[in-house]
Amino acid sequence: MTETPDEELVRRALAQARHTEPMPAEVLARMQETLTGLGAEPVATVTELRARRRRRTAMTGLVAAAAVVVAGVGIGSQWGSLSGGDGLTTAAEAPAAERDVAEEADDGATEPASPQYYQAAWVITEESFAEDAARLRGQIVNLSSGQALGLGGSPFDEGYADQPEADEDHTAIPGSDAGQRTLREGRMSADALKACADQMRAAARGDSVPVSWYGTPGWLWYLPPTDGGQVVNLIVCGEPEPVLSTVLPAP
Amino acid sequence: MRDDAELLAAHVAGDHDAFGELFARHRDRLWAVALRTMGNPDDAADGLQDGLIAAYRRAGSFRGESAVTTWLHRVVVNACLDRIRAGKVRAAEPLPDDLDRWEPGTAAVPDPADLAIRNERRAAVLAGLRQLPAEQRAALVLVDMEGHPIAEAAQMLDCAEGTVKSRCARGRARLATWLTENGLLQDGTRHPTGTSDS
Repeated sequence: MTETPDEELVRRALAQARHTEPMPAEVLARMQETLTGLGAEPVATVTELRARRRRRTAMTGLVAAAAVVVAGVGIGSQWGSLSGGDGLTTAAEAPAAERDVAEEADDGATEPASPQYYQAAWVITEESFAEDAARLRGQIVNLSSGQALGLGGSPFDEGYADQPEADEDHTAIPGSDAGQRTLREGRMSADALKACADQMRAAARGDSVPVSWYGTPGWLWYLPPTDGGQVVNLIVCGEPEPVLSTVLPAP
Repeated sequence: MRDDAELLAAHVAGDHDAFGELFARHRDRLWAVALRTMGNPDDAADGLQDGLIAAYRRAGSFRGESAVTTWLHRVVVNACLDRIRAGKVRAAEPLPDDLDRWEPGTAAVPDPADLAIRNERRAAVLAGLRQLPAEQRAALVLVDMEGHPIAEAAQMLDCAEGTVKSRCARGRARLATWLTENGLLQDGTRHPTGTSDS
């Protein structure tokens, strides 16, 4: 591809627009605070299963050949109070839909949640998967009933069509690091949920939390704790195997 | 003094200070890349923090196949691109703190008119940069702004060298068109509208 004179001028203009000033003091303070928080976290293991392959596919069209296991740091002590439900589900802080789910989970009830709930989902990222999984443990619903996520059919068939399709809402979840953390509320489209309904019905078992993975519906599947740890898998619609997996300290 | 690889290895081995020392060495360039990729300081701080957390936790996955600084850039750029793809960015806004300033005590006192023109050009380039697709923008930031070789930028962006070249070429072409349409790239003089020599 031949570069035109104008493109050469653009190249020079870009070089002249290089940012040369140091990191601002307030950003530096934020990063140092983050590092301090990270240093307080106990070590856990994060296993990347198909996430790396998925990302690479999206970026290059290539499919990675193997899963990769990396060492990671898991759930920090700063999340301890949150995973029990305080940070995510207080009446004053949590959205109404999430309050409903939290109360349902706390009560052990299996009443179907409201249709609005099925549009809401926590946005999960690879980078913060472990602590997100820990924080969301307080929002577990039991899929085995086939009702808590509307697997009986009606929520996927009704109640969504009239809802405006929404992308991620990005309501920051308060209660941690002054709102700097990445776990956010998002929403998934009705079509995306309907497409996933069969898979969710087939795979639904045990304790789960609906999530959004790069805009794709999915859910965190919390396996029964064993030997002081609890495996959490991220299941994503259309993916036959877990996309991410981590081991949390047993609740 | 420990080099970057030694610091990263020490961090993985449990040295609580090593990662902070490593980050301190590269933070200003990482900040610059995040700022230019995201387009505003708030989103840049979010992206940089995401990258910082990811790098801290994934240090054990570093295989030494590239320089540590390349790997750090890769993690931060990916974190920024993830935020952009997920729509976690704020509305575009000017960068009033990002323009050239003359500080008392610096060597030369610039001509105010020259400074104004330079700032206008820079603001225009940055505004045009924000119009580009994120992948093209990131490639231009790494190659044309930060001066990384194509091969190194390819490692940072986790793509082929040809892809980086293509993204840069397309990005430059689009940016040239955008600047021309806005009267900022005329007859090779690179003067903003109304200040051309011709």
